[in-house]
Amino acid sequence: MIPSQVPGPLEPVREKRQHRRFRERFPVTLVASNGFASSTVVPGAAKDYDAAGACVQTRRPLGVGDAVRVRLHLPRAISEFFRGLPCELGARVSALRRQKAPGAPPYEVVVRWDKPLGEMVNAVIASYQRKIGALVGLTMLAVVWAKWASLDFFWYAPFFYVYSLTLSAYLLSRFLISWRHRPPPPSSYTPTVSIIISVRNEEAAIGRTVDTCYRTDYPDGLREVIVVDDGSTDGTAAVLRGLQRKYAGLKLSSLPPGGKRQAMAEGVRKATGEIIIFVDSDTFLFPDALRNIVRGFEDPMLGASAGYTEVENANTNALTGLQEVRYFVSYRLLKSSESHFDCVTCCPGCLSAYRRRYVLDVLEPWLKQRFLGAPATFGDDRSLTNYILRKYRVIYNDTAVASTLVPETWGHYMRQQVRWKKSWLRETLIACGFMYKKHPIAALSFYSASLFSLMSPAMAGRVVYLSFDGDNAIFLFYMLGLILIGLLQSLYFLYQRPSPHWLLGMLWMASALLVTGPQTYYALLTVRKNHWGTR
Amino acid sequence: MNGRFLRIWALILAGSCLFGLWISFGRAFVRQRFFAPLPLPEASRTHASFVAVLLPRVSVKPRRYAISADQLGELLGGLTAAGYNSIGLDDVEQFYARGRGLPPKALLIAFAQDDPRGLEAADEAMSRLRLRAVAFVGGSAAVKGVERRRYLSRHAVNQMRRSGTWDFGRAWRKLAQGTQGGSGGSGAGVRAVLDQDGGRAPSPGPGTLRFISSESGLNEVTTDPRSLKILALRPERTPEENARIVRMSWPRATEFAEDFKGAGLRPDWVAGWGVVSAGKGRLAILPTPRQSGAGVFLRGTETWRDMVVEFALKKVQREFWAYARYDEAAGRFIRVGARDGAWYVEQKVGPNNLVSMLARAPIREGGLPARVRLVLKGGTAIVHVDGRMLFGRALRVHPGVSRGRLLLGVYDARSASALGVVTGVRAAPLREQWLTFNSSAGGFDEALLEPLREAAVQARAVSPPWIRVGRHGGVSVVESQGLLVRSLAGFYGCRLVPTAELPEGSLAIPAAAGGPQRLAAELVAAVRDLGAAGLNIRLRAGELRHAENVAFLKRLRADFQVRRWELWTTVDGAAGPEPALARAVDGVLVPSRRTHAGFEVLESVQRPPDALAAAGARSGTGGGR
Repeated sequence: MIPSQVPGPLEPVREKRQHRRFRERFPVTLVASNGFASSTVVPGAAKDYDAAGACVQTRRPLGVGDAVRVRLHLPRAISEFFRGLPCELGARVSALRRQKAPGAPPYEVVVRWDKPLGEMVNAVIASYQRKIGALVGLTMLAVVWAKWASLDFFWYAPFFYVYSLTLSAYLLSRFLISWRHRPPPPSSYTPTVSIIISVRNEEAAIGRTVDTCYRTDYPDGLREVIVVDDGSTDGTAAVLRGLQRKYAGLKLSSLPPGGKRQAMAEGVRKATGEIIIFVDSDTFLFPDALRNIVRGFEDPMLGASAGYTEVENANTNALTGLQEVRYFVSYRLLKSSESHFDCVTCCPGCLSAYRRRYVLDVLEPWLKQRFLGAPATFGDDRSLTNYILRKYRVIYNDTAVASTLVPETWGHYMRQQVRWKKSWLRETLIACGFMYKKHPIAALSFYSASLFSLMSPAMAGRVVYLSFDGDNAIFLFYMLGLILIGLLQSLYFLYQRPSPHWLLGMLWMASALLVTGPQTYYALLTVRKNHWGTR
Repeated sequence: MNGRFLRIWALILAGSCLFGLWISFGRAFVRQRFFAPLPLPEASRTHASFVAVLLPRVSVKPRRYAISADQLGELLGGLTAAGYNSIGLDDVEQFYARGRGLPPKALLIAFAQDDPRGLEAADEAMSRLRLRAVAFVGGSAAVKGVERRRYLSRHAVNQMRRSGTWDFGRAWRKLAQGTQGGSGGSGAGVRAVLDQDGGRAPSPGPGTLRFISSESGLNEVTTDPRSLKILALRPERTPEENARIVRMSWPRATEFAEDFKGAGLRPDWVAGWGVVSAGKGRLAILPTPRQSGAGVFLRGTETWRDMVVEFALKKVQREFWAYARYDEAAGRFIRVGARDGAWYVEQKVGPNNLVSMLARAPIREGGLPARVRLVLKGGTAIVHVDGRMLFGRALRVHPGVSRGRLLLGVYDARSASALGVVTGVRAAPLREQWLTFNSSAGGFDEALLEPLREAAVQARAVSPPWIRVGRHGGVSVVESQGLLVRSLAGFYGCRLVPTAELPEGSLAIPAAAGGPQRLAAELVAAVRDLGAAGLNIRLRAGELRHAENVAFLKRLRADFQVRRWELWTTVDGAAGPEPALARAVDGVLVPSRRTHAGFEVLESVQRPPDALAAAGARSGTGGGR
């Protein structure tokens, strides 16, 4: 399902004003104080706003010069990530207009912010983050406490406790390391970029994907967009032709069905830019995504950079909401930590940039990659990252943002997860051969995480077995640990996103334990089976 | 790999090693040194009883329902300083299976917890004092052995075992979950089971000890090893109070007197049921609103047989009883008390028998408060009220009512209406106290009769000097005051054991008396002629240095044992027990300081160890002390 609203910047209202003014309607409540313990509450709707003030349509008038508190939920244009955060801003009524349009509220109250809007909003966000941050800190302490208390039982099941303690240390270290992660600093470096979109049967989304590529804030002469159709059988080709008419510079290429990797390789061959940017056909770039993702490429040792991906359809159902938390944790926690040591193990296909020269060097072996005698046809992004990571730095840049569509049904989601797990198994095995040469903490984290993923379903089974055997202490500590880790990740999500989806993080933990965890073994058994899985 | 990475790897490796060392040596009972408990000298294993105590949960810091590690250390230190010897399960097993003796003041210390922290704290204290202990842990399945417990790791159990400090048993409550329909709750390798559920645990298999929570932790040779008693110490008590309770778990050998002027009920008393309030010079016993009776018993009297109990009864509503030889499990007791305006003495001889009345006498007008004294001496009960002997005679007690605790109780068929108020209690086990007469005294005047009767009440035997050994042999029997002495012995339930007086200055008795065989034969004939229960030979301390004398006594005792007679010796001038007589006679008496013109009181100072155990089993007096 494609959302009806197109994300991106709202159209600024071009008027002779000091600040850019945005037209976005959202509910606002004006609260005018009438003295001690008395106030007038006037509901209304914002008509437009800028950094200095806002125009609010109301059904009741307010006196010019009155001090008011403006209660609102942050609109998207003010803060993309903190949209919906309730806040109360100080303002003063500067003008009152009467409206004569039929059906419209009779008054327009123009308010002037007490302080610049950005300053006030930042203060609100900082206050919010302080509170949630305290909860995150408390939960981390609770995790440490739980592990400390459980040490009494270490010798009861030493293997289990080595696993449990190392896993906890790994997860807590992710928080600490990702806390220190910083994206590359902004610079004037603007290389030529080639956006490569490989598409197959994506007629619903490809148009918008290409649109967002062209609407990015990047010089037109330095940007090219290449779409490679991998033998689509729906109306994708027609949509692409329409897009070519719309965007004259759009390069189209059509291949017989050969897999995504072939399509991506075709795009690389056609690309002329210094940096190539892979974008999925159901991914929509934010306006500053290109400008930000090329940050850091001044360093010739930087081979690839992964951008951050939001979940576009997060509000569709619980599953998509759950994936929003999953994506967030995966990027903001795990990739951030990996990036601290320049060892990001997977630049996702949604949005990632590579230095073309380095990709061309590994293009042939990448295309011909085989695993256990079968051609490797999925996990292209992780595979390409591995090739680059052997020699070069690979980072994560959370200032480059896109949004993507995630599976909306459990069946679709499960198939996707199996595909990902298969590629994870293959590429992890390959990466084990060179990761030890990287930074020791990165290497240790990588090997530990790999083992955890393999062992976690078995450990869960062992704990359940012990609980049936009458030994409840381990089971209780295990469940406590799971709940705390789930809560920690959910709270961390809440820290950055004031979204009700944060609670779904707990559901994600449960699904990871019960569903996607055991899938690892299924993926292990069927690793040689090659098909797209999601389409 | 560059040098920086190598250094970081080295750091990570070192950190992992440090963690490994810490988790191995800093926690989970892994100790680098083992402190074996102090071995008990074999020669000290001459006793036949031990007390088992169950310590509460141990916490590192003071917590509710737990004893802190400091308090535990204080308690154990106090017990060690008081001379208690901690024993293990193997000592108990060998005591019951092979009759191996126990050390004096043998104490089995037990913990019923799985909490590693608590046991770790306990272990520290035990190791420091080099004591032994038993940990009763819960097991999830009987078939998997004691290692399958809930919290303690197998590693910890092994380490604790290796230290020699710890033995392991099972707590039944948890065990029961895994043994439904099993073989009595004893899995392979389980040496002891703890039943904190009042004996509801299934009887364990052969060779497995079972400890049942009890108000007393005293166990003797006669105790069934599958129903051993264990005393649970309460955490809210101070270490001093708990140490005192442990001390009081052994049979009281000295007099207990209480006037209830202190605040609260002393730990000597255990309120069995109902409300018991002490203070302001009185002990009030009354039931709770839904109860019809109330009772309180005196700790350390569980094995009492012969005793003197005295109490001042101030007020009674419906029924007040002082129970003696109260054995709840066997359903036996004897009691003296007031009911419906009369004094009663009643007994119950078995669980299926009704209470039978031995005597009844009305309480005279204004008879309360009254001071009541009950003397139990073998099969005789003598009751005095305000100094007057009640019922005019000694009462015969059923031989089955052999031993048990001292208990005060009230009863009324109507709920919550019974009441008893006592202003003083005195209780003491009846000592081995004999009555003898001066051979020079011709008769007793009236002034002497009253103290004589009083002495006879508490005397176990009357030993008149009726046998005299001549300087050159020959035994003569002179039954002076025969009627009076025999009446006294019969009336007050005393054994008749005449005294044989030897010629003065004869250091080697048999030689002086014309040879050991002749003397022994004549003494046997004299005892038989008098119809006595034995003989008491009076010696001077110096005469014991002659080996012939001791050898003669041993031979004579062997003759007497065939006839089931006793042979005692009264030693004049002895400062204390005479080691030379340890196995030569049934007991040694010395004259007490309470002497009168016509009679004197002799007191036992020594009994041989084998006689001690036998007597402990037979009569319950002095066992284990």
